Amino acid sequence: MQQPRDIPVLSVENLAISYETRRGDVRAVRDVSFEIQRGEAHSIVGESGCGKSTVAFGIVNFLGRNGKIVGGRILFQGRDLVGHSQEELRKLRGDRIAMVYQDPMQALNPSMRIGDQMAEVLIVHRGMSKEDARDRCIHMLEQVHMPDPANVMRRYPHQLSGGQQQRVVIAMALLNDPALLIMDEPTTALDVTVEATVLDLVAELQTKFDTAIMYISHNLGVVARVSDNVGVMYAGELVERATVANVYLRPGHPYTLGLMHCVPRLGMDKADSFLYPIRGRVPSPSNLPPGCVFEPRCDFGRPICRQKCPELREVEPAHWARCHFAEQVLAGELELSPDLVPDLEGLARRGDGAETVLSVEHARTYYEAPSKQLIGGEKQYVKAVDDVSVAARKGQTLGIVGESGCGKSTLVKTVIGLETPTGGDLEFMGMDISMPVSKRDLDLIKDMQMVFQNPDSTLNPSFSVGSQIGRPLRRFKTVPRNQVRAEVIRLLSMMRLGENYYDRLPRQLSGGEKQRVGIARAIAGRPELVLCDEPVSALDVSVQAAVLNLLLEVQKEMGTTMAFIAHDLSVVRFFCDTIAVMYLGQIVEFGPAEAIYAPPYHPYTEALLSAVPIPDPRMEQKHIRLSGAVPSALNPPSGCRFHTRCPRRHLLPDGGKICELEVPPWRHATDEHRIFCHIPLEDLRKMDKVVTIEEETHAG
Amino acid sequence: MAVAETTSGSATRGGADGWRQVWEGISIIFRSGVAVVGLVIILFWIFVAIFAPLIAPHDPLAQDSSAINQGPSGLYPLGTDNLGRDMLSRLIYGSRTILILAPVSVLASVAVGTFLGLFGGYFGGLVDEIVMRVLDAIMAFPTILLYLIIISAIGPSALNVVLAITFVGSPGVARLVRSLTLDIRTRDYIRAAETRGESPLHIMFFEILPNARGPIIIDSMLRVGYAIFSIGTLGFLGLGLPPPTPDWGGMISEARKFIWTNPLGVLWPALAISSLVVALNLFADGLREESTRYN
Amino acid sequence: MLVKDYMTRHPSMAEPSMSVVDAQRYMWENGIRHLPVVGDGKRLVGLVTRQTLLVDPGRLGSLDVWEISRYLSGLALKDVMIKARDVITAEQDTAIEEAARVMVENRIGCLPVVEEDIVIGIISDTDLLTQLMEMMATRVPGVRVTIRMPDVKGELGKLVGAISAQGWGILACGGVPAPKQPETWEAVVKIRDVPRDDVVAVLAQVEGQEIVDVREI
Repeated sequence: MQQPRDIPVLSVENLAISYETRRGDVRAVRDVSFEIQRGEAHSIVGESGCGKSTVAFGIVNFLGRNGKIVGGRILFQGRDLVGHSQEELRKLRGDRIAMVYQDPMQALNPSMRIGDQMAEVLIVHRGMSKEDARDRCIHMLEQVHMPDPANVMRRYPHQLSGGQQQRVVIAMALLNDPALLIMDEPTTALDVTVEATVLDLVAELQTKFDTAIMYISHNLGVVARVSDNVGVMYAGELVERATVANVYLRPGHPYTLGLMHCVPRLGMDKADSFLYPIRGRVPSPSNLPPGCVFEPRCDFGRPICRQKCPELREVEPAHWARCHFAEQVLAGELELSPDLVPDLEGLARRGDGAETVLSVEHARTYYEAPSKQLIGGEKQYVKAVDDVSVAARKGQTLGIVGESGCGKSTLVKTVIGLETPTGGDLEFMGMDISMPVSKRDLDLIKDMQMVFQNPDSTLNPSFSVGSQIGRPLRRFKTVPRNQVRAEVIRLLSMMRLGENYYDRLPRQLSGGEKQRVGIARAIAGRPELVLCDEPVSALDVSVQAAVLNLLLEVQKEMGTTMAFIAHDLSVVRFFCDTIAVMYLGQIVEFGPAEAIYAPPYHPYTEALLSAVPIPDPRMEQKHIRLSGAVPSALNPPSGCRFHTRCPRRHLLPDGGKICELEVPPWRHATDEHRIFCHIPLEDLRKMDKVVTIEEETHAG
Repeated sequence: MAVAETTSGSATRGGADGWRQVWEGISIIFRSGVAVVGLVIILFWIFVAIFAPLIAPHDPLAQDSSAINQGPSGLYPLGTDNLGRDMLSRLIYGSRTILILAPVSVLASVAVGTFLGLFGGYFGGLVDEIVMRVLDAIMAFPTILLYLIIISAIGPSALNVVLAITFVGSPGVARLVRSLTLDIRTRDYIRAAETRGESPLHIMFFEILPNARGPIIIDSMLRVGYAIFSIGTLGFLGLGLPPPTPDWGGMISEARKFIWTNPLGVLWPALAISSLVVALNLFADGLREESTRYN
Repeated sequence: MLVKDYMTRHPSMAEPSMSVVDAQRYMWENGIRHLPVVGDGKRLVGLVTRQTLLVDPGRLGSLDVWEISRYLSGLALKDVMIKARDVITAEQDTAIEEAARVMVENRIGCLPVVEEDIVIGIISDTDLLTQLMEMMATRVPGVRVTIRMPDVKGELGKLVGAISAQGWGILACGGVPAPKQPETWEAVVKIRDVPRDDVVAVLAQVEGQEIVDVREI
């Protein structure tokens, strides 16, 4: 099976890569060393800008015009890649190293059929005949569990869903039986349930084809699921490297420790689960600290850390860390300072009698879709939101969770008036809000504001921070004109931003800072309700924690009610009081946060919980996967919309025939917790918890 | 995709930042050799236009019947035209005409076009359709034909030249602005402005327009080149400024009849027009390339 | 127990233009004994082993010292490799003992595994030894008994019957014609979780068969 002294498929030694820019050389990667054996899955995890993708590009020599390897070696099966000619590298890349990117359309030609593109790989590299190539492609598509491969071969990329495109790309990468497969965030753009199936596929391929996999990601949950070994990168350096269990449970570097503490975990209870953000920010490559690169942000820093840069050393067998005090970190002597966490006692929890601020009953928002016929023809509607009822109580947070296409964004846009509802009753503070924002009273507008998802587009690039926060103050006349500047500075300090931010332009700010300015702008007018549309999904993990804590503080201080949209169930649990789970325009489960994460579950909630990657190797998770894709909202399935994919249909007589025919009833597990399903409550209650910790199962 | 959390280099106050931006803009120009060449030529002509009375050896309107269609000589360095007027002086004074009319026309077409483009792009729907169809109709006509129609309808004069060029040039600007608007309109900060209940006018002019200025400015510079060329064309067709005002295009038109006896009469104004147009193109191109180089 | 179960996938490979000197160092530094030489798409064009890299003295005989160095440094794998048509290969669905036969008969230590000329793996004598170990359950502790019996149909069945009548688990079971004893068969069985004496007691009673060796390994 394996040769006794196996050559690692990939061996990276002290790699350093720099880019030439207008302002001189930028050292994007400064010292990275790791090894991957045949059949091993090795992840490189780190936040954006740490250089992990650059390492991958360096390996496949994809650095672009101005990138160059300035130090170290890359050995592929024992041979130094750096010395090869372009021609040799081209063959190697095609034959034995394959790469899969985050965006499948980077690898797919939109104007060629899938079958032609895949076969091309074989015909060019192996000189196969067209028929043989085609057969092999179909075989490979079956290996990646693509339904109806022959049909897929005839289609164009845009006719496939994101998950299917990614499967095709993986299949293409495997056609030449590569020894090394590099995957750069391949599932980041996919929905959680689809991501879970792709990750299963990767694990299966690893054993079947004995391929070495280098997996790059910023998502700690995904990394915990796929890897055998993990390397943690920070600011261009590899700071820790060990087995997945060690990295997650016994880290040897303060940065890794910090990362583990700022990631929300699904299994944790809410009240005593604080997120500890890592203070400070990543240094820019042109402005590195002397000595240890993490020292400015490290709670454990000592004078030696400022003077001398630590080496990556083996602190215990198969566990490397780049820290002068790695042994102490390993032994658990590093304590996180409590002042990183806001004091959250007294936060109004689900107080009885708290008034309802927002009430949505049977809301519907349909978009007209262009009819298929040129003239006349029946009108078709995209039923983005179809009979949704939710409520939010004063001072509490309502979470809305669902995958792409479920209608959560449309729901929020309808509430705030960027979309007009087609039907239903929407009330905010007792007043009707079923009209677009242009027709609303200024007072009403002032009391409902929104925080947006993308920090890069949430601020107007042409105006300073101060003027943008000041605008709502002036418009809503929250304070007299001569006090606007003072108020802006007060808001900035609430966001932990100094007065010097007043005159800065958005392009001088980091992503987290921009998002904080966006929050300040939203709360400037002291609104009653703040809608947050995935406010942290585009941020790095360590920054997410800071922003989430900030939102909690704001809520505490100002008593604001919040609605929080997310696709990540773990974030929502930490943050929300009540949660609504949406699927294809409808709410399938609604109730207090704790109730959602424990049985009884709606089958879709159960599948979502089983799919979320958990950043803790000890957690056992059920393995429920949904087949097929989300149906189109133009023509949703009859009866229960989830019936086409429901893994629990067999619990009902006749294989769940009723699910196709009738709209489900609401099952009320408690006064506050309801589930939209035909399956009777007793059966739903009998389901096991989706997530358990290993110790729990042993203790029983 | 997560956004990198890095410190940026500068933390300057807004006022100083304004100057820094200007300086950065200027330094971009100097980085591109091409842009510098263009700039030099443009500045040369501006200089000529400003100091025309001091530079020109003769009165551009003075006729000397003894020196008709002569080639270059000591008295008339570039020769004379068919009415005995000094070419050099006419050339020099002609620069004034062009250097005033062209920017003015461009300014007008940019103003009109921006307005239309913002409206169409922001409101979409019926408004957009109407505006775009009308503009498409205008653009469907060959430019020369349009000029002919307009000038023959309202008569030749400096103002009418400006009007004609504005009419013909706005659709192009409108298209550009519209596509910029369509793109910017999808950004979250526009959403944020809408959720504040800002009026459409405010959003168009204060949220969208400031972020579209880059491409509009560069496009305008190219348009000045086209405008110069158009003014020359109009002059050539006899539709430009009425004589005896020195007008490069008009000079070509008059000299054309005598091209066999005095070819230089055509050459000098043609060269003048070309140099300006080329210079503006170089300048705009150089700027554009330099500002997008490190993307 | 096919070649594909025991072969090494993604073996180290080289291209024909690689210099002999580099190949030597590569093989030596990484402990590679057999190096397939491939062209485009991992198409097998030749094979290089430690021996083929030792240059034939006959070729060098006529050159003087300085020319030898230059000659050697100019050699590429394509000049010294065993050409593809002379390389014996195996297919992944071949039975593993077939591969063993080929290797023994041709006195070679490895077989590249190909699928239509494309190298998908390599199987070496070490892999066969591994397979032997697996087949004999070498890594699992148990009682290993060698039994001699007449080379007659049904004899092995008697033995196995006796074992399964006890409800014991068989870890390994194999047999060969007894060396130097015609018409006799030697079977080896390995039984787990049963004390040695019990095994001996039961098996000694099988008629017509005799225990020649017992050990706990």
